[in-house]
Amino acid sequence: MSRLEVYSPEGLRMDGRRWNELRRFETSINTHSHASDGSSYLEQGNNKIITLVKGPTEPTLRSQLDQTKATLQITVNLTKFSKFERSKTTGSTKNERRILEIQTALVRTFEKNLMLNLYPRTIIDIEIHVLQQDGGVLGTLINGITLACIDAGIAMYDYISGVSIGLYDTTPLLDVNSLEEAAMSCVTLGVMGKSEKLSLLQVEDKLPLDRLENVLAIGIAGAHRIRDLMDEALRNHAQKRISNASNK
Amino acid sequence: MAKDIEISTSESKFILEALKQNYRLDNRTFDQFRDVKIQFGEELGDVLIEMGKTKVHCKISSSITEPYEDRPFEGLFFISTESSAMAGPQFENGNNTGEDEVLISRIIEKAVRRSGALDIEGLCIVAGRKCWAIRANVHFLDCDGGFVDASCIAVMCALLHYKKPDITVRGEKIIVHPVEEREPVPLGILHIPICVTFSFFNPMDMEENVKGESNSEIVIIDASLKEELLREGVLTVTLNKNREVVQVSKAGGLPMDALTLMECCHKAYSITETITNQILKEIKIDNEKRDKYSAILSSENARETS
Amino acid sequence: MNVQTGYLQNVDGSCLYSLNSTKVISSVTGPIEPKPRQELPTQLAIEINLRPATGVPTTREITLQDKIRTVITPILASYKFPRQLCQITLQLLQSGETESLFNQLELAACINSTVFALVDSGVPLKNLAIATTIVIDSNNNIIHENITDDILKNNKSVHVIVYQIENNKPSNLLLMDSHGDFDEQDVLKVLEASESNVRQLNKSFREYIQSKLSN
Repeated sequence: MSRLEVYSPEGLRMDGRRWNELRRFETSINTHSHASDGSSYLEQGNNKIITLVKGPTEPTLRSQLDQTKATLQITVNLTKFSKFERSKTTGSTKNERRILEIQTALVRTFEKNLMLNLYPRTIIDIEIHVLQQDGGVLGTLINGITLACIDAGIAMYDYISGVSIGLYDTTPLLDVNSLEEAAMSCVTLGVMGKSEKLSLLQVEDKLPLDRLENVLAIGIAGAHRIRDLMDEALRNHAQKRISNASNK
Repeated sequence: MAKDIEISTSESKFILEALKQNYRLDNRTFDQFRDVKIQFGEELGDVLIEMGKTKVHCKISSSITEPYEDRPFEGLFFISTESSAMAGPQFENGNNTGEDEVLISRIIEKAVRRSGALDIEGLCIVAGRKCWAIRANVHFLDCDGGFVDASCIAVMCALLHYKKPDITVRGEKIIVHPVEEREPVPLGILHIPICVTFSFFNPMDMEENVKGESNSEIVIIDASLKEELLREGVLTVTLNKNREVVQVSKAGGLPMDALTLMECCHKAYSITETITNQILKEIKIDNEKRDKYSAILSSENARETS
Repeated sequence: MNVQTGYLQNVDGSCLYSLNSTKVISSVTGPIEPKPRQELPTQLAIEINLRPATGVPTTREITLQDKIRTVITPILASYKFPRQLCQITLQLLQSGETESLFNQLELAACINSTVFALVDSGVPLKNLAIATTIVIDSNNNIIHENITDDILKNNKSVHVIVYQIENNKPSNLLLMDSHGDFDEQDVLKVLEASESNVRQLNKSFREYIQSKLSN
């Protein structure tokens, strides 16, 4: 990295945000009404993802059939053009360990949040396409799934909102982008609704133990803000749909 | 894990009910880590770790190869964690894309490789031309829970124990001195990450967990296989003695209060300290056994050094 | 020879076997349900997996697996379990020889370890099979015990011999795997030396099992 300052003495980050500011959070709901039962398009900063939820439907494979609850299946497609440099790996990235890890983490996060016991003997298939990635992708994926599942009308306990926080020296930076993510240690959180309960917590680089608490506090506050943004977007969308329906 | 092994309803009820009354099947307390037994093999970098019935073997091997083009100053370091049917019927031969296999290998990868526990720049011989490739072969022999914790200890012990042959560089030529001819050199270990795994159980129903204020979830350290099969959430914390968090992974599962998780991290630190000291002590004992002259030649002062 | 059976918890039979500096663990699970493609309509199918101490399995390990299979197949009472599978996994902990040049010490250790693990697992066997390694060095001396890597490197020929044990003594020859330069006389000498070796191994294994059972 050349002259770019991660965090200036004046308290500004590379993209002009302060330490506790989220990135732009824009979303549309029900973008693929013919292709799926619930869908969302989410832009969190420069992360752009499409999420499609199909189901609950009858499973195609016998092994996916569970007598007591619905089977949850999540596939993440990190497109090759999603980063500035085109991904060099030839063939599919489907079986890459990193992708498998993300998918497992997402399934285990939402398994406890969706009321799968209400849909026995079915499968819920979630497909995410990452069109562009710019840091904190896992958090964005969580938000995308939450929105799409609500749109699909699948019963769930609460919103789960995801966000990444970096630690620059002693300053926590909320909602990191890819430049910041590469320059410092980051923590990804998945927070249940307005509570302080963490459904997902991942730290991948070294971080002083005594700073962790501080970082978590900022992260939880940020995730609550994201929850409100998602809630607002969903309510606006619902309002529009109701008015469209009643005009006819 | 456990695609095939299932636990009977009555046994699972028994274990959960016992947990609610503060009992574990093996009579440990909730925050008691199993005793770690470290055995070194005949060769250098050959370690067998036993934690209760869990057995993990790790062996280090080295070779000289060409470094990656984009990283001319770094050596190569691989950790291979392939499971086989030996550890239990739930592991399939040659299938390493199972959920748990992936999570185990990713956590060890992050804890040891990504955190820079091994000084890979020290493996460089001739920049851009020749470097050491170190491979840690982790063999899962027997599974009774805690594979991540045990294999992390195994890899670190083996790395600390291993010594690579000494070399001399003369221009383009590299002379590898056999072990008999020159004392081999240990690897550069920058810190010792230790993984501690916590398992969560929910004694109430899901609503209470999500909406309630009671935070009555049960937290236990170092679950055995049966506890692992029944748990609803898992958190693996990797720390080192310098009070650094190396890696934390709670990939979904039961939502847990942030403060409880912080408490877990602090508990993990004291375990990290004891295990690190144990590893260093046993490595030292083994080194002295191998080198009978070390005590005479040592310039270390007789006074107590912490 | 050092044998410890019942070493592992989660399999039906296991054996930690070491001879000089070769050390191997074997595990046996079975009879279990096979995958459809492994199933044999009239007998027990055998799956053998051998993992080297370092690196990933290569053609070298596949060759060893096949040799082990040829020895195990005739001694198993496989007609008793049609449509079932016996899964054998071997993990080398220490090879004790230069892996790129030799596999004879490993082969003998793997066969013995597998047979002892099968005994431990209770899968019915018709007979025992016991393997040994013999080296003829450059001075035409027959070396039949304490074979090290250096002795192997100094060989004129090296042989792995597996005998079937019937009525407590070696009977049929199950496998003879020889490499190097040797003549008929040498073979006869090797067979003779190996027979006494196998007798010895058989005796100590029986003693081990006896002491284990009496405890």
